[in-house]
Amino acid sequence: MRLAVRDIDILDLPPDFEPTADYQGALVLIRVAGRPCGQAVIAFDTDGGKTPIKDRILSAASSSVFEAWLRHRLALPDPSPAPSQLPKASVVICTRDRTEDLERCLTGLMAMPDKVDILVVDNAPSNEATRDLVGRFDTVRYLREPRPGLDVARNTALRNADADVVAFIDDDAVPDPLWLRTLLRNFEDPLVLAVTGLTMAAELETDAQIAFQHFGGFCRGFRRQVYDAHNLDPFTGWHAGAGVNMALRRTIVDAVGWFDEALDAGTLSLAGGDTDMFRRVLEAGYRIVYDPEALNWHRHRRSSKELQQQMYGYEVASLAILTKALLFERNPRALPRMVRSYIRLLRRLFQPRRTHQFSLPYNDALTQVRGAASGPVRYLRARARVVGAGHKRG
Amino acid sequence: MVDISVIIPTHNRAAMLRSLLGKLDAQRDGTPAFEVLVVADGCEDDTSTMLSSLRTRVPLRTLSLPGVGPALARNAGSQVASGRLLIFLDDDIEPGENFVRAHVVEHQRHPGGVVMGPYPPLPHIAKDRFRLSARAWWTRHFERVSRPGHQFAFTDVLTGNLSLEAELFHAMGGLDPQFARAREDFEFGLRLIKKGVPIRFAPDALGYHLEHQTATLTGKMVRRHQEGRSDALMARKHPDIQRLLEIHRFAGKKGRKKRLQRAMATRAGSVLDPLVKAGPRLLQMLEKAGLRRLYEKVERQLNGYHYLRGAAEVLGEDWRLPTDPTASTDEIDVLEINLDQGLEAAEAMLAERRPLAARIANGTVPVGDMCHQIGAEPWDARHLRPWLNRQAIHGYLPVALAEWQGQPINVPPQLSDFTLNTLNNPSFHAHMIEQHVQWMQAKLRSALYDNTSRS
Repeated sequence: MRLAVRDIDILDLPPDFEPTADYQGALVLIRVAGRPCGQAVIAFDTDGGKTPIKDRILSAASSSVFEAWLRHRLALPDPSPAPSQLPKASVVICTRDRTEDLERCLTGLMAMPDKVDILVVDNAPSNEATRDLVGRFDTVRYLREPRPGLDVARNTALRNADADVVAFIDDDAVPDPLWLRTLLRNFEDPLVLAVTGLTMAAELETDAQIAFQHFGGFCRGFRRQVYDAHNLDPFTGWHAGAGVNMALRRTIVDAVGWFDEALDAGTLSLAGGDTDMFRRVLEAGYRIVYDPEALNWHRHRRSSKELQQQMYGYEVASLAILTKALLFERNPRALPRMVRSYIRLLRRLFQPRRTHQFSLPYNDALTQVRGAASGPVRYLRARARVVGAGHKRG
Repeated sequence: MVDISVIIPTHNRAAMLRSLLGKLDAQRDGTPAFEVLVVADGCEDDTSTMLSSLRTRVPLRTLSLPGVGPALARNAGSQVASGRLLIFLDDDIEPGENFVRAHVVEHQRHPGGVVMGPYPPLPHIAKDRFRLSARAWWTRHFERVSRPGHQFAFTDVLTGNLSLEAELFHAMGGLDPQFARAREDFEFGLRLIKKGVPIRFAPDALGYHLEHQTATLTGKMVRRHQEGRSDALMARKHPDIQRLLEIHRFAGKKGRKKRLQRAMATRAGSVLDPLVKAGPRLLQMLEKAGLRRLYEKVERQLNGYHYLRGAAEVLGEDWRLPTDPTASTDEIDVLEINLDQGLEAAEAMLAERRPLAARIANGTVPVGDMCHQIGAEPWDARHLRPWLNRQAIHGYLPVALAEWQGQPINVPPQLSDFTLNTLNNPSFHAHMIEQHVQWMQAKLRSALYDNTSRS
């Protein structure tokens, strides 16, 4: 199945909305007066085009669309107005051998109205292609980090950026023009150490991409949230966002430390560096803002095999973080959480949920159980390697 | 002769006071002339030597009192202050460089009211539960109060960072000395609201609260005792707001649990007090063991105990609270407003009549009630749109949508039950469920969604 991805403004609908031949439907990002505020999932051609498109979008739209629309109609002030002065920022892309995606990302960054410092961290590359590509963009800085690991690259970026705020975007994502500016407007509150944004699917060409988006993708809702340890358990820090779309205050390093180099892509732990950072921010009593208007577009993994690997990785990471908290931070609350997550997964394995109307080409519950089972060991081994190499830990 | 006086009651916080005075001395250029009046209330540390050795550009005066509590200290300060405008500032707040000017500007813009400034906690690493919840209370309080269209209630008034004209303060009779150590601000706020004095919030009048240096778990327990005491006094002085006070839950005759709690608070003090003294230590142990639920339970019990002990000090054996014969809601006039004249007309009507309660309709469709809140300011024009957006969204959204789509009024457009139920629900889980429902409702034809092949 293929779905089109559309980006529309509800106050100004395009006349040519209806589909081209091979798309069965569309995932629609809905804006009100330019601001992203919700989504709709629409199947094409179910009623021979009798119902006007506006009605169909409205009846499929999420509740946040109506709230934003009403706010606009009542001419209410913006709930998070831009401060008079935005902080200085650097944009960082950590990449490894993905020049095609990286080029799209850099082109998107160049199209933003704000001119900023852009830094590409080339993480343990196998060839010179990335360096050559970055050389073509004369305002982009290039840095090579030979030690593999996404968190190693992130730390290198934090060490080499001198702006007050460092915004991270994945190499397979493209920013919306106002992405950076919107992220930055949330840093006025001095308690805010991290700001995350909304990430939508850039394409839904395969079942794997659709499945990932249906499971939630990187979308954390369409309402602005301010998280602290009082309304979000630090262990569920991933509710606040993901590394694909986040900005950190440089002082985060002094307040909660560096990224844990035994976590995330490129290590045995496979993922979780961002989640671990968010957890530590919340535990230290600081805040994370999720601002859905800070939008970027991510190309999800296309093949089922990659999706399965991703689900496996998330489960490994989740248990890796709990292992870290329990053994190395002596946090007693990690133990019951660990037990609970094993029970939850095993239960899912033996009693598939009724509402789970998916048919993935593999057993997703089993994939997750395998990930959870290997998580603690994988983390311990990754950590041993990091300590052996004398790297920084978070 | 200066026009503005900053009054700072203080008690044994010489170092903090010194840095505070330094910040006041370094206000931004263009700040009107002001004097600082420190009321040293029962200070036994080196506050007085520090003050006498301090050199400031701003005129600084000191008043010494024998330890009478912040309410009386503020009153005494207001008596000797020479300014026409009084700014009350707590001694654990570090004012920003625009602090004095922001207060003055707000008074120039709207004379005759009370202006409050924010004093959120100073950012720092805070890991323990007590610190986190104290910080959450302070930050959320100021966020709520600063929201446009917020309806001020007496519980929003805090005297830590507050300014008003001296004339108004004296006309109000100052702060009530009965509430010397707690709730003096709420009580003052209640009298302000009853008198119809407008309350405003000036976000620029910012100071950082050093609550992490002054608030402790043990201190909180002492404060709960004082709050219990003051609430009991408040229920006697203002029977009309009695229902809004915590103490209301414990008063009255019925309920075995209530009676037991009261008996323990009144009589069992000599037995329980030594046990309760170990409370903060116990809480720390529970926190270390990661037993968060138990921690919260024990903390609630301890707080309740101290609160009731304080109340018992005032009420003794007799826990009947006086009731107010005039506090009947039937008497209140409800203003009927119809939106078919447009929002501006409705706003003008609210601004002119300033009702305690209003009933909003659109044509024949009821939109909602702006209810009377005891102890809150009357409704005004600036409340209407935010109220429609949050409180009356279920009633108003269909009306507005029908109008937008050019359909005749009174025809609510099609909003699914799910959408209606999740309006204004910001939770992550609500979003996840909504998203799942969206995908399922789209009825995509694909093997991915073929639920016959798998149960």
